Amino acid sequence: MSSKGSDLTKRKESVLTPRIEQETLLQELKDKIQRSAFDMRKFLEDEQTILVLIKTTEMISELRTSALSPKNYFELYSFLLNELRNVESYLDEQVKTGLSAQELYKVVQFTGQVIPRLYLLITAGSVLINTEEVPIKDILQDLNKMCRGIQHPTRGIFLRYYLTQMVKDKLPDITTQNSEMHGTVEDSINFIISNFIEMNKLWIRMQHQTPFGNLSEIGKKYVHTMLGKERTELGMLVGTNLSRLAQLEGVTVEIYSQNVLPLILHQIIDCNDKIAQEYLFVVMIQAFPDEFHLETLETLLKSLEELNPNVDIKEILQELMQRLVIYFKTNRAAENQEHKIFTTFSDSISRISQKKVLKQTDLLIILRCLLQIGFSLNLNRIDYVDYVFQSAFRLLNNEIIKQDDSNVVTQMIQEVIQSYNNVIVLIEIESFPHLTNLLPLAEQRKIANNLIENVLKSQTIIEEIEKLQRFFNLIQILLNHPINQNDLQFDSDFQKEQSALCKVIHFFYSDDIEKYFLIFQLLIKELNGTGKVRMKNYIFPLIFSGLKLAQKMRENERNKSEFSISFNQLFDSISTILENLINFFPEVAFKLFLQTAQAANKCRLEKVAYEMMLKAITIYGDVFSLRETQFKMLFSIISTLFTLNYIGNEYFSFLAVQCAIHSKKLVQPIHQAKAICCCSRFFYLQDSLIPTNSLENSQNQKRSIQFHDDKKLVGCLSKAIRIASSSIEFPVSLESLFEILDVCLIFFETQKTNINIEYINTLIELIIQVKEKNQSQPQVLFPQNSLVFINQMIRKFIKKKKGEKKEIYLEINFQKLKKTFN
Amino acid sequence: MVFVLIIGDFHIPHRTYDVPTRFKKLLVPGKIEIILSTGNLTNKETREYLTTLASDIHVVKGDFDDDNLNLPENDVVVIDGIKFGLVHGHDVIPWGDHDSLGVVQRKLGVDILIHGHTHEFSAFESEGKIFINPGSVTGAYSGFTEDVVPSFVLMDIQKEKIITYVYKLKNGELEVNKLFFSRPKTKESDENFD
Repeated sequence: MSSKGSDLTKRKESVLTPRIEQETLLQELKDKIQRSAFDMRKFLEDEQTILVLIKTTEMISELRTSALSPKNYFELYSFLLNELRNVESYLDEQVKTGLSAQELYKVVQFTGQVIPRLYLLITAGSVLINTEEVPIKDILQDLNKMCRGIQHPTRGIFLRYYLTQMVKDKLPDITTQNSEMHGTVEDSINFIISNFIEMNKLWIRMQHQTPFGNLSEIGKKYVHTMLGKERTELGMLVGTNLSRLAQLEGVTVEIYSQNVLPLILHQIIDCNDKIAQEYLFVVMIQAFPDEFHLETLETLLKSLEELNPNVDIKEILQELMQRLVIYFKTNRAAENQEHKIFTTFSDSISRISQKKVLKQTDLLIILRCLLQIGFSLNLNRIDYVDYVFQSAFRLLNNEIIKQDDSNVVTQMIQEVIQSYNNVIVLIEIESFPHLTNLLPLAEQRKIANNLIENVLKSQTIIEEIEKLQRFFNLIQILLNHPINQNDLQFDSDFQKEQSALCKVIHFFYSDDIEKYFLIFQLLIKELNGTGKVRMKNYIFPLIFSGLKLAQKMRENERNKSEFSISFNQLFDSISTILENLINFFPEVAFKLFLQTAQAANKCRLEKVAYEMMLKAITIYGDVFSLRETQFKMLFSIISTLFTLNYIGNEYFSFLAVQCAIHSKKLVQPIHQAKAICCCSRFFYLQDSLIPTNSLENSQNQKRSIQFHDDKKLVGCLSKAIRIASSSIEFPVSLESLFEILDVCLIFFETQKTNINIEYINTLIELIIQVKEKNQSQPQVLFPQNSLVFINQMIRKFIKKKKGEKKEIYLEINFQKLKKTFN
Repeated sequence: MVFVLIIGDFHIPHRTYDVPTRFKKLLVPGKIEIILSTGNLTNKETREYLTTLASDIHVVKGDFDDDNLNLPENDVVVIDGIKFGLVHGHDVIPWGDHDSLGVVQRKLGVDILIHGHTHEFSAFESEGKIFINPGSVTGAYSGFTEDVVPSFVLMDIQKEKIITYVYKLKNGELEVNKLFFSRPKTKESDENFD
């Protein structure tokens, strides 16, 4: 095994051996070095310089091998490096105690083999620099020139790497003394750049080596790929030159931009190697300060555009832009600089995208970086955001965005929404809706919902019509995306989404009537055509928006503020919307017509109120009269009519009669009785009998016109009594009769109607008759709560005998009632 | 001490967007044992909001409530020996009329009747029975009442008396009033009956 190993070390052909053999070989070489090192150290202690040098030569010889992969060679080199450092220290001391460094430098050049010769030369050179007997500049130039002797890529790179490591701390800089011997920082710059260029060339050549033996195409390809990674990692060695360069204090931003950068870029661009360009460009960005990059931004970006088309520019740009974003967080750019920086980037990106070298996704990622730049420069510049969105939009070519891209675009949009967190600002971004329109449906909905949430949270009122239109443009998707079965479920996301949309509508109004009217019209325009399912939700906030506007107009009228919108315009719009709703949602239209009637009444528009009531009654007649819920609907009409205190007697009595007519047609007698009894109260409306005893509101509820139709009043009550006594079953009939009696007493108290003592007493007799007729039924069947109710009513009546108007009750026969039911 | 929250006529999202922030801060879970709501929430979200405040919740159906909520027309709840009646009030004709409310109270056979719909707070006693309208907690638009003030009621039922706290939001300022009622007599004496 060992013989085979030694065969390999002596062979100069560049053939890579299989991995296990590599590891074995590596170990062998290390052992060899170790053995020599052991001896070397002994000589070192004995200060036998010649022998030290000879042993060192032996050790370095192992680096002549071609058999190791880059990674393994690196390990061997590192192993040797420790020993070489010891040798250097030793020689340094020797020189301090008399050894001539210059002579040493000359002597080592007589070493037989070139690799050991050059390593020793570098070591000697390092020692010579310390003496300052010779200008450092000359030494560096000489070493540089000598290293050109090794053109083998792996060996050459490591040799030069050794060079950089040895002279690292000895390079002249502005912080060190500036003597003739010492040299200037320019010398350092020149040296490093030259070294960098040479190392780069070697590195690139390394990647194109194919030192295989007899392998098939596939075999070669596989090995090539595996080794490729190792070779790429060696780029780190090349990159250290740039790091060292950046560490030089003497490299100011001026020197960097005028001397250093052009040379580096020249080499990077010239070498035209994808891997080298990618790697080194990033190292350069990372090594040099961000201020330098800002200063040379245009140059940097232009050279990016000149790189090999295979280079992943995106990675490089991202690196640069992300660094600058962080930089701007703590270092504000000067105002005049700000814009220039942004446009430099945007122009470059524009040129890059035109070349069509990058994939769409990559360009989007870069645009996102540009967005970050814009934010970090100046959050107030909405136009930066708009530019980015516009660019993205143009890039996407009006096509729906595919999955990978949509993530990037969505992230961009989310970042914008979060950064501004203010809908008023967001709607100013012109191209915002154009861009969101290209996203997949689910994403669009998310964003739109996000915006609505923003309005709700911040409680932002939008009263300018242009802004509101823009807002609607942004959330259009919620108004028209397709609806599926799941969405119709009670608790679905769709329902929540629609609920939020309804809520947000309440933020669209203005105290200025003209503006508010425009808003209302815009709402109609946007919401009205959205289809049945949606309108079922929207109709409420929409109509109430209109009714609130009417309320405001009335308020303004009272305050003598003028406005140019007419009530009729408004109520016509509302009425039209509701008309169109009747066929789809009659019940909703019905309720809202009643609401509109009330609103019209408050505005003192008796004709409009009347017409709205008629519409409601028509719907009732057409749709509800055959349904179970009809009585509820009729009660709604009746109770609403009571509140219309500003419509004239003609209109009022017509509507009241309509109510009475419909009351008689109710299906269940118990409802008939109740409804007609209620209707009776229509026919006597005076100030003192306003149907609300609410003290705070009574001013507003005061009826402006008095109304009394005794004939109809009595007619209703009598009809109610007839129905209650003959068509309703016992004992419910009794309850109805007591309720009717209660109402009769209200009229009796006024002493202004034909509900007089006789009428009341007759009714009481009737009640007693009804009870006695059914008395044959055992007491136990009379439900307790009924009995309680009736007795409580009797109590109430009897109390009137002790009340304010006790005189009129003198002849009313409540006692008889009490006896009957006790 | 039993704390009863009396609240209603939210009209979310039909007429407004949310309970006022000022109120929301006051309405925290923990103290409230029972909620009596007059209805017109109008949707499930609002119903769920109530569940975050207490676990014993009674809601009745208002004229705009979602059918899917399956709310009853009225409710009777006994709290600490007192019978409460709960109706929305849109079918008490005429709206807010004391006599008509009295009939409802007798029909349900309750000592305290909670009603709403008018969007205006009111509290009165009539023949030993108490009538409370908490108003609209959101101050929602009403075709009936002008200048609606957001309000709700918190009732503290004690051994001898009932303390009623009325919370109102007038021009953005919180206003709290205290009303005292004695516990309604459940059995009526026959003294006045002659």
